[in-house]
Amino acid sequence: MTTNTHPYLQWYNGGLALARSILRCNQAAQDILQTAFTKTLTGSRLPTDEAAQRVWFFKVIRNACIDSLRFQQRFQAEESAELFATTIDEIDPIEQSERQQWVRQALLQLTSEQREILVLRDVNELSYADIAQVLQLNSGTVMSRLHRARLAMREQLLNLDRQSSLVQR
Amino acid sequence: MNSNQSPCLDVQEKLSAYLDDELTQQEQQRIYLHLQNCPNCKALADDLLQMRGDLKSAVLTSVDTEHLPRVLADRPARRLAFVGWALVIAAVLLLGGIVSWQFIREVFSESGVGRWLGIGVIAFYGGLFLLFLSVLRQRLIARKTDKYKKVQL
Repeated sequence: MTTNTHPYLQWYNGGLALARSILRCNQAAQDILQTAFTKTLTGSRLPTDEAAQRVWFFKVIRNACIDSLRFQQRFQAEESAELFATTIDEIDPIEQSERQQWVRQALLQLTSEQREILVLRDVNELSYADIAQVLQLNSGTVMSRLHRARLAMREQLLNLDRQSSLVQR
Repeated sequence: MNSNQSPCLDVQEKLSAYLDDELTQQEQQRIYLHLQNCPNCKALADDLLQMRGDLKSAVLTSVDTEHLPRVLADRPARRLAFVGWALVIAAVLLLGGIVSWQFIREVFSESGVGRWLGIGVIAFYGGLFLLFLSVLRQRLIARKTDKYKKVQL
């Protein structure tokens, strides 16, 4: 009984990244992953081929995240609170380069919609068709939303760049 | 062509999809050609491309996201657990065998009421053991046809 035979374990890190980007909390994200893995073990009608399994798995994670946000009654207030959200980052700062810290910080400044689509595409490398299934959008919307998310991300990175050069002066 | 007025704007809208290789071949070609001639769009494309790589490494590189697969795949722990179970099962079989053999020998060396009492006890435990075997057999048959057998963690 080797762990490598559990087909969903290969997406653990990517799934965790998705849950973290939506929830912005490491512990809550790990709880979500736990729930998702329970579902993979007890679910009665799981997809059989790997591509469909991956889409299903990310969909489960995303839905569980949304449920948990609703449960916390934060879903509505989030959009307005986002600007003031303090970025609690639990990653060890020493192991990460400055550039990576910036990227993480910039990501946290985006809206949850933009964060989830960026993580699905750039971290988990889902195709547009798969993203469309996970987010339940059509693929034209995926294309434009992703592009806007990337432009917003770039804007945030440029902002951080400007701020740091001001500090250095 | 609707892209005649502002080719850059049109290209930039599709730049993300171009980098992700999600456009049709003609569009992919068209944007490639435009990028060769337009330093502005080329710069944006390079920026986005770099950001894409950065994002992956920034979000995935961390110690704590890797703990679960590593903990589960720890080979020494699995071997120790296997050896432990084997020893426990061997000990139970050995002790149970010795005790019941002694008991049976004593029962048959006795005479009168004690002997019949002993036989009753043996029959009781023997019956329980046979019932256990019958359930075990049913379980094994059910397991063979279990469609979730391959799901393991």
